[in-house]
Amino acid sequence: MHELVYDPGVWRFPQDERIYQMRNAYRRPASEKQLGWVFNLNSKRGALRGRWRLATALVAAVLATGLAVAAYAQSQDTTITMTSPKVENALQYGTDLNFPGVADLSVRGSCPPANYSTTCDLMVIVAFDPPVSNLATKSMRKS
Amino acid sequence: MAVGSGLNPGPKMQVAEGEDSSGLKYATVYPTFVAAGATWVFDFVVLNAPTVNGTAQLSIMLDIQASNTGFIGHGYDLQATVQLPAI
Repeated sequence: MHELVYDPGVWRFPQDERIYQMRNAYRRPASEKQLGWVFNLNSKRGALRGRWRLATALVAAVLATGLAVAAYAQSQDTTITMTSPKVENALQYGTDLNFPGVADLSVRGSCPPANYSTTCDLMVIVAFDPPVSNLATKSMRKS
Repeated sequence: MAVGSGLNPGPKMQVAEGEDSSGLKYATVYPTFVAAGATWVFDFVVLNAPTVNGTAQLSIMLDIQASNTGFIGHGYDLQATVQLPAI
């Protein structure tokens, strides 16, 4: 005995149910309208994803530009020139030089009196504020 | 110009003397490393400094070049001129 299964408009036997399901599996899962809605949804998601990527790229570009400008500004050398600090006496001379935020210099020395030439002592004391390396100190005498 | 350096602390350093095209005599000291916050003392002896009426006539030009140890690094060029007064 076989029991008949009712499908709207179709009466069939249970053993044919598998064939019926296999046949339905090949049918389009959604109407054209539904399919279009899916495509539209995907398109919106794609647009949002694109905007997100664009915004991320813009933020990254701004940050990179800021870092580049900061690095460029930081990499520029600073030259500080101080001329004619006060020196009271040539025999026992001394002066202090302050380079704000960089270093403090002290110049001390003595030049014993002599007739035509003499030997002078010169001491330069350098105290740095920031950590530095590759220090080069040059002392120049102009006669 | 003779350079007798007193350095605290005292790692080795290179000292060079020379004279540029304009006749300026100079001595250059190259410390290999400067610790943060360190104080450096350089002693120089200037031989045969010219005198006028027994007073030395010196114009001492200092040029200190340094760069910090940061990630990017920044160079400093500190220049100063000390003129001994003539009597």
